[in-house]
Amino acid sequence: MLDENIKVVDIDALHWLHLFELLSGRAFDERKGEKGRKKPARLFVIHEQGKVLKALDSEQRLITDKLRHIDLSGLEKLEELFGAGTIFLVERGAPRRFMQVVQRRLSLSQNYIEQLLEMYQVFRQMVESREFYIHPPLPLRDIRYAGLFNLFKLALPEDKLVVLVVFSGEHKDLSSLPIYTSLIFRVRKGHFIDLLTTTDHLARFGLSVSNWRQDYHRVIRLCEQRLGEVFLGIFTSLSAIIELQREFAKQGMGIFNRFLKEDKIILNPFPLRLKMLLKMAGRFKR
Amino acid sequence: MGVEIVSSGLKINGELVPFISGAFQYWRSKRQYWEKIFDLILELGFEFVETYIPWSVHEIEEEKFDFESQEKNLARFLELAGKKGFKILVRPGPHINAELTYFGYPRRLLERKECLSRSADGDLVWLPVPPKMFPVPSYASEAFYEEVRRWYQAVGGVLKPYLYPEGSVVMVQVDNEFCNFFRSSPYDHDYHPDAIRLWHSFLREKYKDVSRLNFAYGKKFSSFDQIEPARSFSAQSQKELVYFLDWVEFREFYMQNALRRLKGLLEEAGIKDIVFMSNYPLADDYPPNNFTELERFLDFQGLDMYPQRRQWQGIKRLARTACGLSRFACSPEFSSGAFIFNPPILLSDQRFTTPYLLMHGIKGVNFYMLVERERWYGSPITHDARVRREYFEFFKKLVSFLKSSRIFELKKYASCLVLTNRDYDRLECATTILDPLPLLSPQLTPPEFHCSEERFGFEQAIQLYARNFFEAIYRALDRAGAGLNLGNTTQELESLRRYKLVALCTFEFLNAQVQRRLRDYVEQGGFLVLGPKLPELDEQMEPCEILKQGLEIVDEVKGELRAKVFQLGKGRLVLIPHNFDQRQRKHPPEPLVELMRRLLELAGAEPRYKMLTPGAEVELHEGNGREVIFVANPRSQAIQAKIKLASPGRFKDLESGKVLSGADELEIELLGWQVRVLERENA
Repeated sequence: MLDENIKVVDIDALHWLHLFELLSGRAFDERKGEKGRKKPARLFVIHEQGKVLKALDSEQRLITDKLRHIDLSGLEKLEELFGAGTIFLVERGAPRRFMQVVQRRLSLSQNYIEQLLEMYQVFRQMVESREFYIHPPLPLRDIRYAGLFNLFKLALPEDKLVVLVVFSGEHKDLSSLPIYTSLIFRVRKGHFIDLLTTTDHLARFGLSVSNWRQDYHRVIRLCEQRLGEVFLGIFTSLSAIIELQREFAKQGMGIFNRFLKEDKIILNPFPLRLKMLLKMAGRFKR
Repeated sequence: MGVEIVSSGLKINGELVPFISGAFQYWRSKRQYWEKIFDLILELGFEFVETYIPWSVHEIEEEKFDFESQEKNLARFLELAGKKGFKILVRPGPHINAELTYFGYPRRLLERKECLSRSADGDLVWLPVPPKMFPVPSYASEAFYEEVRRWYQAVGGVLKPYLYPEGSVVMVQVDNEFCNFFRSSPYDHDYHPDAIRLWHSFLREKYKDVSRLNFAYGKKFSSFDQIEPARSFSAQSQKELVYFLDWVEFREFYMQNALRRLKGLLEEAGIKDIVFMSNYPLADDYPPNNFTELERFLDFQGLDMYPQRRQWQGIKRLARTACGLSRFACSPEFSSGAFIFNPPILLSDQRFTTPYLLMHGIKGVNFYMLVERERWYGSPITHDARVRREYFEFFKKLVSFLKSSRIFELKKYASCLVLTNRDYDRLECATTILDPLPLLSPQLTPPEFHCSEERFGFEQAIQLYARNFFEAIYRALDRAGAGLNLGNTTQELESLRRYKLVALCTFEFLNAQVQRRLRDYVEQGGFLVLGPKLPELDEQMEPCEILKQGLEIVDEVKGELRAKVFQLGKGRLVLIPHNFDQRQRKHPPEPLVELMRRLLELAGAEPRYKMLTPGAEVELHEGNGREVIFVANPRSQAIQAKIKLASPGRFKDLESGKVLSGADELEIELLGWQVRVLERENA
């Protein structure tokens, strides 16, 4: 979970940007053309027991005069009526009730994830009671902190690091290393993430990279010297990530095994629990 | 006073010192690196540094402070900065944010209920920020002020020997980005018992006698204390609006009261006779912020921004607002790097946004953060005194350019002022039906998204249409190439007189004093453009035709969009009797742009340099017998821009030294996202 005094330090700005891009898919060529894709029509309504106080279309134009009243028991009809792909209905006063309930549940003794989950639970309840109505419905699962925490505990041991480095010869980072993006985090006792950094933290201790398939060892060594024991190290290249993205839809989890065999992804250390998980996933695919 | 603020920077013992500053947070860099970091800042050319002073870091237990050990040694930091020749801006909070958990407040303070803000339902008010949500303090709570007094006394004890003239601390910021912790809906918070008392004293101060309030509200209260604070919007009539408008005005008063009290407490702690300033987190002068009122007791207020280059319109708005409203156009926090949860701001952004900010009239900047630190990335100097070479070279070149060109001594040419209408800004806020949704800026939360659609007996729902008129006029003047600033109807007559053309939106009602001021401006020779209606009511919805009285139509500006011209004293008043729709806020109709060109001519307020290439921009800065033009291309494609010249001229590029000349027109090559600065020879 998240330590309230988490140290976020030595973040290479380019690593951070590239990580955002990887997560949002913007780094992949085949997605670039999708930027200007048309968004589905939207309808936003504020109502008071069905009486419409405000209705806005996708262009943020007021269309309240076209929708004076809504039948709260047949909200699905709104979709047909307006051809709207996304509908968001708010009962007047619901945001205030949401904040009221949330603020009564929050406490300084909770960590940030617990606090977020309190908010999430209240939101979920209010969607269920249709004080907020969202179409298409969001898959709002009942997520409990204890469950999430146990999963986190199962996945990552205490006092260990997780290291991700994506290398790229064409992209020099701020320390002039051929690293496209990186992320290092540490889980401390009690299963709180207390450190978030990038390989920029290691640069001042002499990190150098020429052939990443060999030099990744230096990353591990420096991490262990400076930050703590590495539990999981993920080392790969930008080209492998792009290929992975392309092939994942066809081959699913099984592609990881192939990439591992071909050294396109190096997992080192590669904990047993993860090995088993990948094996199972590979079999499942076949 | 040995140190004072002027429009181009600080005057220290009569000498102008430009405010080009960089943030360096001492407690986040190991003490062993301080000296080397200062040397690197000097190498960049900076003469000013800024630092927060975090309460939570220095307080080790209640009423026990550590200002000495290692990185907490504030005196050593100030001494070293002074020794290196820096002038210093200190920001002792109490709120500092600085991406610290609890924003710099000690946790124990956030556990004292009597110090904390209350929601409309009486609950604590939580700020949902990572890595920990926390309940925010009440800036009306007496218990909170007592705590702050103790903090200021402690920090004042350390600061005193380092204050100007004995030391280098020449400026202090009062609190930080005061905006009710970004939760700025008028019906969100603060309803602390002390805040409610403050509401009553606000009403007492405003109306003096309860009978006057009863007249305004159409009620029969026997004392001010009977008037409940507004907790959600429910007005049905014009008369009922008055109470809600008062409530939003009170929220401005709440902020002014807080900053005034904090300034008083700083002075009480011995921090005085230096420049006092504050900052605001957005580019708008929008409730609860009120430049005019704040600068009655602060030396200046500035606007903060962390833009990517695609947000250039916002940068322009920020600069124009600061130029129009503050005695010193400054951005006390302008990005150098970014907060960890912000969208990445890169050097490619910085290379455009910084000169573009200066182009539109900003004269002082504090680059936040010049020295990278925990929870921050993308600065030229790292927390451990390493250099991010490309960033470093950028700042070095920038500061050297500023010092050699001395463009901060010049004044941006602005013949037009577009006023936001404080009455309608308050109405927008008051009529929200989506509370507690924050209403930090009408750009982020436009009125159609949250305002009631009731008309309250007016011809249109003013709260929905006023923004359209204002924005359409602003953008049309911008398109017409006007030299322009942004202001507010709260401004004094003196500041309006500087402009040849003043424009604003008016509907049926307008504050009587504002009507009087605008009439005076016109009668004394001003050129006032307004619309779509001439006001007939005052802010209490009582008949008031100060502006309308005795108007005689003398002309009509013809075209696709017509306007009526009235003579009033030595000046003219122009009425544009048209409404604009939401789309026209961003894209003003061509006939309106054309009308504005005509009005600029009529007012003698035409731009001296006209950009002929669509999409490119030119701004003139002048003074001391110099003329400097900034030319910008806020697009990714390179262009060849053409500028219409009033007379033939030779221009020197202040960066490259290259000379360009033109007879009627000046042609200039601009790369994508580029700003060039040219000085006219023999101006």
